[in-house]
Amino acid sequence: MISALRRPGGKRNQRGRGVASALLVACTALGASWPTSAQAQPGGSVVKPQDPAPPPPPPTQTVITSPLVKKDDGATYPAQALADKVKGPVTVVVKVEIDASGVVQNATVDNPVGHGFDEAAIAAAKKLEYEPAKRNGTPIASRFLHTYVFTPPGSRIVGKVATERGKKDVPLEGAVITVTAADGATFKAAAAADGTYHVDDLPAGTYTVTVAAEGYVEQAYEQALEAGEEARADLRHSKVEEAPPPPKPGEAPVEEVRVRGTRPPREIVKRTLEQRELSRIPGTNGDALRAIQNLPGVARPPAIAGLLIVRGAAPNETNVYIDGTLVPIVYHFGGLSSVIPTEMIEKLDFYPGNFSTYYGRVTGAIVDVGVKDPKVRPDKKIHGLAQADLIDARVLAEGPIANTGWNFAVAGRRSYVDLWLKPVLTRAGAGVTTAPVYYDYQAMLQKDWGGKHSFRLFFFGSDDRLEILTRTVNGSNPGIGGNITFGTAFYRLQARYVGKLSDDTEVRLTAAIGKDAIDVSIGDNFFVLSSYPINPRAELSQRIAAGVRNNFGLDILYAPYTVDVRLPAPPRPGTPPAGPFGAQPPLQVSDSDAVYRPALYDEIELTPFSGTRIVPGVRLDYAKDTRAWDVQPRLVVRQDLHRDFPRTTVKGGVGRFTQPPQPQETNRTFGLAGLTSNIAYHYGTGVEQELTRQVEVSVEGFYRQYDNRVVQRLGNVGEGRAFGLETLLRYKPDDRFFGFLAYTLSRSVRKDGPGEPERLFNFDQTHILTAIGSYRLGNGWELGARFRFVSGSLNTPQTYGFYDATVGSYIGLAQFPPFGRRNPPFHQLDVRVDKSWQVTKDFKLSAYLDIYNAYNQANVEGVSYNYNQTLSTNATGIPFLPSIGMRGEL
Amino acid sequence: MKSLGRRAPAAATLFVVLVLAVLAALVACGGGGFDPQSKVDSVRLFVVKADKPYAKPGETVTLEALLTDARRERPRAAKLYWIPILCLNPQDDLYYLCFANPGDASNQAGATRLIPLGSFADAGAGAGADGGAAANGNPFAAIPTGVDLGPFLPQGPTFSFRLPDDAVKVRPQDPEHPYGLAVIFNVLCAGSLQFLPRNPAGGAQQVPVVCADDNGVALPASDYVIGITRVYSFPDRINTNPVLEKVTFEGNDIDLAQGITFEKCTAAKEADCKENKIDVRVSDSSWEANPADVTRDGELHEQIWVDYYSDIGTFDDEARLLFDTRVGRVSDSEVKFRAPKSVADGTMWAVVHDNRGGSSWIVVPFHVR
Repeated sequence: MISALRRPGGKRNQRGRGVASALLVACTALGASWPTSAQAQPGGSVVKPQDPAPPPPPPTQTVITSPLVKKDDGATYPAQALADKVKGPVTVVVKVEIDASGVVQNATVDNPVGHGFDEAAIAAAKKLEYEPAKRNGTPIASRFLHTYVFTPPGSRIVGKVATERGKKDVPLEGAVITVTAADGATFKAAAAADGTYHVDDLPAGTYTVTVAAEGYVEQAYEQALEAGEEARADLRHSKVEEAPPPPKPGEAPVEEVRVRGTRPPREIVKRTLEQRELSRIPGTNGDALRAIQNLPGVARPPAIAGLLIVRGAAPNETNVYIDGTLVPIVYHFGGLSSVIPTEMIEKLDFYPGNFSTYYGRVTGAIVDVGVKDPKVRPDKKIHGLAQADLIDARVLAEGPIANTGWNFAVAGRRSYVDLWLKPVLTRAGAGVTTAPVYYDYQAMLQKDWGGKHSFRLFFFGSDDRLEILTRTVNGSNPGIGGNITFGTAFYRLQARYVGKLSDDTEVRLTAAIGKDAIDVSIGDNFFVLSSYPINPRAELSQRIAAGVRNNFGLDILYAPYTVDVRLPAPPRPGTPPAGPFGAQPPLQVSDSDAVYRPALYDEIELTPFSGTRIVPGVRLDYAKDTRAWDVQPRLVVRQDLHRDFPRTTVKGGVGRFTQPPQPQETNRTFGLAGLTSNIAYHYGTGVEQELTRQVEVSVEGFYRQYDNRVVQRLGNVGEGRAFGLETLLRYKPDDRFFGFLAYTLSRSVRKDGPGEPERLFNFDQTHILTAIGSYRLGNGWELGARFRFVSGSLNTPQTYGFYDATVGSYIGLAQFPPFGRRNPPFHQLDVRVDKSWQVTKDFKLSAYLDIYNAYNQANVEGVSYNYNQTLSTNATGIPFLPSIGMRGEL
Repeated sequence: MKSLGRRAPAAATLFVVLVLAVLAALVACGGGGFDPQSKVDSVRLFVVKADKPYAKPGETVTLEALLTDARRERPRAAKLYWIPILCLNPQDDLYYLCFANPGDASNQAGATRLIPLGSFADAGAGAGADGGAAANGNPFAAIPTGVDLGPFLPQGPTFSFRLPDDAVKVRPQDPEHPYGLAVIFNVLCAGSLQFLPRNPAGGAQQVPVVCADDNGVALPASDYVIGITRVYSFPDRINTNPVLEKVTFEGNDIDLAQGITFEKCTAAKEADCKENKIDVRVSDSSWEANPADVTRDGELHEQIWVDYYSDIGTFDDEARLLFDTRVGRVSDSEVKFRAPKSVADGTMWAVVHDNRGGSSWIVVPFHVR
């Protein structure tokens, strides 16, 4: 079951023994007392000298006997040598002097070897106890050489192997753990009755760990070990799908669930949603990115706005990355669906604050979408799926490219909103040139080399457009009418290399080039932009010593662009506009330039003690707009109070985050030149607690201070703060159920300049409660529900005010300060039902019904006024709205 | 010029939201069940037309108001008062900063020039070269509060002023396109007009006047309108008011003196009443070029639309587009009118606007038999 554990330095050395014998002979010949004697000691590498050589023929009657070791505890392998990553055995010869009573009087090293070995050897030598040497039976003082050979201590891998039955983990006794070294040497252990295992005495190096249990899916992974390091991996195994999987009629095949110890995050809060959660949250149509809006700290966006509002930050304070590459938009048309299909997403990491120095240029939050490599199934065939619902249809195919080692994936989606919206718009009197339509597309090539190197090319993009002519003019805003066009598009070609250059060194290179395009117009106002961003990134991750890893990175954004703008001057925050839209002469800009924002960062992951993780880092961002570097030190600390189940972790973080002004803010025409970056200080603390194997709870408190905030056309005069408490009670997905209960209590306020009153931030929501659960009923049925209770959004009350007699419309008198009134609380239940059929061995069909607003709650999304603001009524959101979809998988 | 590139989605966020809001409005049902702006049953100021929508510095501009009093009860006649203070080039073109005192934290009102006109100039209200002494250099601040200003203000449908010679101002944000903006306020009030003290904590946008009854109690919104009129001045641009050629009823030209006679509605539901198609014809020459340094898909022109008002019956739309900035004349521009269920005589006011401050109107008698 278990390999024998050898204590550090416990290995004997035969060559050292020979050296000692020779020395003894020489000393005796010189008439000196140089007897040597040592015993194998459990704590050190000790050379036991050979038995004393027989005394020479007595020219006289003098008889000398060698000292005999009575006690030798051995030498301890020095910590410094571990830190210095000394490999191979090291020999230290100590000159030992003992008195006539056998007590060591002195121990020295004539030829020091460093790394703490000399000190360790001397310390050990001074503890030696001897039976003294004797001359003719009389104890005498003596000197001799004592040799220590230090062998690097062995490493070990420990953990537990279990399988999941119901809601419990059941140990898999007898599971075989095989650890294979790079040179082919293998070490084996078997799991004990409680599922625990340990494989000991492993030399430093990289191993392939394979865990096998009969009837269960075999798991394998790579593990790098430093000398003396203990790595832990708890593994949960799923039963092997019977080959070919003959699911019960209507029963979905069991998904392989792999949970293994992963490196703790560099961030204080990192929330990761798993694939099943991403695709099954009710009310999202199975859209992964819309699932984020259910996590703690994320406010409910207005009804038709696909916005991410995190911890009281403005939507533009959250950046969205696709595998480290910044993308300009996340959602099609107001949040109908996201621009990457759920099926291509491996994971979705969400950092609501205190994020790593890997990310920058925003003061709010980060979403990083991890796109998965093409899936290659054991049959080595190409597989795919097609899905259609009331909004759009999409297809995906993936698999290997012959026997080249390359794998591919292609996918595409097109909406057919135009099919039903065009008649609606036409009936409303609009002339429709291009009905609303969106596309997105993805193509990927990927190859692995021995699991150590991986290269991937990923091309993806999105396109939304519409063009209509409205013949009806809004009397209150006559400028909004006529020809309306809306077009946004982007694409990226991303190349990514991930390589493990050595046991200690990993490198990750990503480069992306592409295009962003916007074409929006209303009447004679428009915004037309073409930008060509180039975004190379590199990160070198180097293990410096045991428990010390350094991550150094480069993150460059260069984006040449051309832009044509003709728009009214934007209003200043907190102040009413100058009149109805289009009542002012528009401002105009026609320009070609480039955005240039390089950044460097470095972050050290320290694990000084078991369960302790300290991650200090710093990021340097330069912005061509501000012509300044922004220094952003950050620190995150995690401490496991209890490492084993049930794990308890406390954590905290502090950091400086900067965000360059938006281009329109520094533009001379629309903004103000000479601005500097917005600054936010993030403070966070929290605790994570496992309650059961499936259930964990986390509580995080945050405080965010905004300084130097840019106020449109006024400068860096704004301030602000946001603070709150987030709790998440989560039941991790198992064979049957997943769910979570998220609650956020928060407040976000802004001040738009000296002397201005502090006001509630536009998107402030005091209470955000989300409860989600989804249960597999069997026979392919799954039933899920989402309930949300959220404080109402804010609005600015208006009353009867002025009349623009030039344009012919009333101008309401806006309450000051703005956003002073809150809509009634929002609450809504969404329900989702899924049913799947395994039609043939290779074909699976599934359908879903996603009911939005199941009890048809008339939630207030805003206030609607009559033409002169003397009457108002609440405007309600989307009513009961069922959506159905079908999906086939080959 | 400075950059407007990366993160441009954020730059256009407001604009995009606006577009989406339009879409939502197009798809959404109803407008909350309120009476439309086209239904006239109160004191109404429809438009103030400048004879020169784009005036040159030094020119005299004459403003003419189209108004009515459609209240059922008229205890006191509504009068149109003009506040004889020219607000020239208010900060950021924000009309409400005309009333703000210099030094107000939020408004930077010091950039605004206030020029007393007529009797106010004669009385010495004003500041600097443009007038006499006034509190804080703000002639509005010199107007006493709680006093009926009616006797001191010019009244009537027209008002004239001279645009200062230096009205055109270089704008820091767009120095290549200087322009001047003159703002004139008027109040249509069926009571006594009094000036209000400014609330220091009330924000930048505050109503400066109150229309009160004989007891000093503020009258409801149906009894007064505070109007803002803008006149722009560009060194190199001109604009003329659109020319309204005719009104058609069911495709036929009408005699403006006789007006239009409708059959009264006999249907039980208003939606079932007969739809009468009314349209206005604006000359092609009215669709003037709208000069722009930045173009998209060719030369830009004005957007022209018509607002309909009536004190009887209902229109299905309160405004219709006549010319689009790129498409030009829009087909199907007619509006549908449903006559009331009872015999009545009323009035239709059709006011045509261009999006550069030009306007014209036509008044048509309506008869329901």
